[in-house]
Amino acid sequence: MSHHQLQRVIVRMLHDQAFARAMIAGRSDTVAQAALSDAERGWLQAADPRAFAVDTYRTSRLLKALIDEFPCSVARVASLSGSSWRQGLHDFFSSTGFHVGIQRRGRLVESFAAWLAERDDQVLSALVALELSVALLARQRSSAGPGTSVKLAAGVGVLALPGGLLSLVHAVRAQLGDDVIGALDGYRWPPHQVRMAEQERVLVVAGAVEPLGGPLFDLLSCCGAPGGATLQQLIEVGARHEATAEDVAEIVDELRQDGVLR
Amino acid sequence: MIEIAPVVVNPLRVRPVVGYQSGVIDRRQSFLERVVALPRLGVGVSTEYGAQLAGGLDVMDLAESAPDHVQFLEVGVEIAKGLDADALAWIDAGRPTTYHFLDVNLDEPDDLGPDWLREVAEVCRQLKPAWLCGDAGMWHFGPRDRNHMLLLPPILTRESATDMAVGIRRLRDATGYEVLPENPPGQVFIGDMTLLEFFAEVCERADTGMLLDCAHLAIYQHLHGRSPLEGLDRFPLERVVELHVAGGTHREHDGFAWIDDDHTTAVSAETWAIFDFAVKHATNLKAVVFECERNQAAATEAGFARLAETLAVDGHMHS
Repeated sequence: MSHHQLQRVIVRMLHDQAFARAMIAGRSDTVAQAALSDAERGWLQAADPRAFAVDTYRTSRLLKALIDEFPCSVARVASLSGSSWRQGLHDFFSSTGFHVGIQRRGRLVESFAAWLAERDDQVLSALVALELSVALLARQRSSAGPGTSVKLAAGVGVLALPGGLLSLVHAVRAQLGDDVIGALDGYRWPPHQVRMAEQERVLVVAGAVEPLGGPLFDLLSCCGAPGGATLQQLIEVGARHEATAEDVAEIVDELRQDGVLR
Repeated sequence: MIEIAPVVVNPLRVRPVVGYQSGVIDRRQSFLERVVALPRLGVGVSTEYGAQLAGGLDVMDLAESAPDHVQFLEVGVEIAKGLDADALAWIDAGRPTTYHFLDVNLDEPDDLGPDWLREVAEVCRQLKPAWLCGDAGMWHFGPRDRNHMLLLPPILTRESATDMAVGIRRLRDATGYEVLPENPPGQVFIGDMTLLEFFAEVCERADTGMLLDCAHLAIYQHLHGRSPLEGLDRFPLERVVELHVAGGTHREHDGFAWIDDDHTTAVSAETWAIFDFAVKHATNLKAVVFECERNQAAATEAGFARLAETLAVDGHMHS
C-alpha cells in the first residue's frame, strides 16, 4: 500500500472510532486492512487507539460544515428521522460511502450527498441534487487563459429543478435561520408541494438560487457547455426566442458586467 | 553523524533587511550556498485569516508598540480565503513577510495543480515573502476543500519523504521562492523513521532548508517518551532557517496524555530546551516566530522576553 493509501486509512480511523479499534485489533473484516503490508499493519497495531480519539469534536465539526452546505436536505432527514436525527447523521462516518470516498480521494460533499440520497424519498433526492450542485459551483475557481468563447463565470450554474422545489427551499431556509443545527430539534416540515413531473429553471450565482426565464435559461445553458459558446451559437439560440443579434449581444454584455458570464 | 559547528555569532543579531530580492532561485547553487542570500528577518509573529477579528493579536499595534517583537509577519495563507485586512495593511506598510501555506499536501502531486500554483504566485506578488514555509503534512483529505482542514503528520517512510521532496522542488520551481517544510504536530505518527530522520531525508532530497517547530517537536518527543533533544545532535541543523515557538496545553483523553498545540503563551520547558539548543547550533537561522496570534499582547510579554534571552547570545539582541 502506498503511503497515500495508508494516510487515508488513518483519516478514516480518526473519524470512525469503531473502525480504528478494529484496525488496531487486527480484525480482518475491514476492506483496507486487506491491502496493508505486514509492516504497515504492525505500525497501526502498535498505535494507541485512544490517540485517534483525542479530538472529540472532530466529526461534529465536519458534520457542521456539511450541514451548512446541505441545510434543506438535512432538515428533510431530520423531519423524517424525528429525535434520532443527530445520531443518524453521525452514522455517515461509519458508512461505506464515507470510507470508500476517503480511500479514493473523493470529495466529502459528494460522499455525503450520495449517502443522504440513499433514503427512499424523492423530495430529499431533489434537495440533495440542488444543494450538491450549489456546493460544487461554490468550489469552482476561475481558470486562466484567454478565450474567444462565452462561458459561465466560475461559481455560476443553471439548473432545472422539480416544480415548487425553489419555493420549498426558500421556506425551509427561512425557518432554519442562521442556526441550522439549533433549529433542527423538533423541526416541522413546511406544507409545500413539490411537483416532480414539472420543471422550473434556476440560476445559481454565489450560492444564491433564483428563478430564470426560459430564453435566458437556454442562452446560459449554451454558455455552460464544455468550451462555452460562440456568439453565433448564442445568436441562433436567441433567434429561437425572437431575439435579434443585437439583443443577444446586449444581453451577453450585461451578463458579463454582472459577473454571470466571462 | 553530523558534526555541529560551534556558534561564534548569533545569526539573528542583525536587523532584518527590508527590500531584499526574492522570488529568484539560482538552481546552480546548493541550498547551503543559496541560504546565504536569504534575508535575516529576526523575530516575528504569525497570523491567519481573520485572527484578529476572532479576538487575537493586533499585529500592527504590537509592531508599533514593541518593534523588536514583530520584525516580520508570517502570514498563514489558504488560497480559497486570500489575505485579510491585517495582512494587507502589513504589506501596504512595506514590512517583511513569510508565506505560511495552510492548504497543500506537498507529497501529493495532484495537490500542486496549475490553478493553485497560479494563485500562489499571485499571492506571492502581493506578499513579497522572504520564503514559503509550512507544515509538511496532510492539510486536507480528498481534493483541496475549504471545510476539510485537518493537519496530520506525514507517514514517516522513505517513499513518503521522496514524494515530499518532489513536491517541495516543484513548488520552489513554480514560485521561485525557497520552500521550507515544517515538522507538523500530531498524536499519531506512523512509519519506520523517526520524525527527525524523516525531515533530514526530506531536506536532503529536496536540497532545501527547514522550519523547525520546537513545540511540535516537543509534542512528538513527549509522545514517544524521548528526551526533548534526542536525535537533534544527528539532525542537519545548518539547514534550519526558521524556528517556531508556541505554548501548548497538557490534556488527557481516556487516560491517554497528549499535548494540544493550541498556541497559548505557556511555552513548555521542553520546547524551550529545543529552542535553546537549535539557536546555538542552527548556523543559518534567519527567523524566529512566536506563535501567539490567539492571545492579547500583554500575555505575550514573558514569551518574547524568554526568546530575547536566548537570542541575545553574548549580550547583544538584534543590535
